[in-house]
Amino acid sequence: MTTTDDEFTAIWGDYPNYDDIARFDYGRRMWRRPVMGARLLAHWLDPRHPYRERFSERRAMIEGVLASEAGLVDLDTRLRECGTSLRCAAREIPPVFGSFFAHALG
Amino acid sequence: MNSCDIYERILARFRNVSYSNEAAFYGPKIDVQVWSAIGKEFTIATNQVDFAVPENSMVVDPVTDSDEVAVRCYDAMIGSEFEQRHGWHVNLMPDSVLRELPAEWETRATTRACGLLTVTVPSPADLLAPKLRRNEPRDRAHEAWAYAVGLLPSGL
Repeated sequence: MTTTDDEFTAIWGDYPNYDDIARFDYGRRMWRRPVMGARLLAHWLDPRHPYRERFSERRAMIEGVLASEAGLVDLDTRLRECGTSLRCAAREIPPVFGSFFAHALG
Repeated sequence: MNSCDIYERILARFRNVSYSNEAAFYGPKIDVQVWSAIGKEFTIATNQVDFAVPENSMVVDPVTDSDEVAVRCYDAMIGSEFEQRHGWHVNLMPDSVLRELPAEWETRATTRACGLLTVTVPSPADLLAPKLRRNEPRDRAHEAWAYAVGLLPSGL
């Protein structure tokens, strides 16, 4: 499902952060794959991950975003109704650190 | 290291593999597109020379609609064993980053065969355009470097 330029700007702002968008785009795709989804979750909950605590506090929202199959406009609308936005939610998706992601499942 | 040396170094890791997607990049980069054995075109990576990293280190920013490629990229991110072994890492980019490219960049791109892969490279001027819009000191430094090594013709 594609978005128009206006929709893109409305969601991501005039100066989109492509790293945030990448974590959202690829995060959703990887989340649907059982093994990768499990690896991501284990990685973000790893004590070595610097954002583990923040992710734990917002885990339900982040997992809801990653599991959602809604289009960007619909998803952003739903998040705004909850007092946040897709732009903010994407920022909350933690990054992946290669040094301990590969072995996240032991 | 010239652009062809960079391609050889990257593509040596991707022989005999099929990928899919559009090209993408952000900043002055070299885009890497490949063709599968059945002739389908894919873009799998871009690479960017970053003055902030050691001379023998690179960042590759691929955009892909292939989940298999994306999985491989996750295992080659910064700090990974892959990076330690090869000296470069992967930073996945969304396809929306294509909007930063000048219009019709594909018409100015060049194509090169490399083993089973075909590489399509946007022109250096197109690769530099987003950085020049941003116009930070590092972007102007990248422009100066591009002129110095002959990637941009004088008077551009």
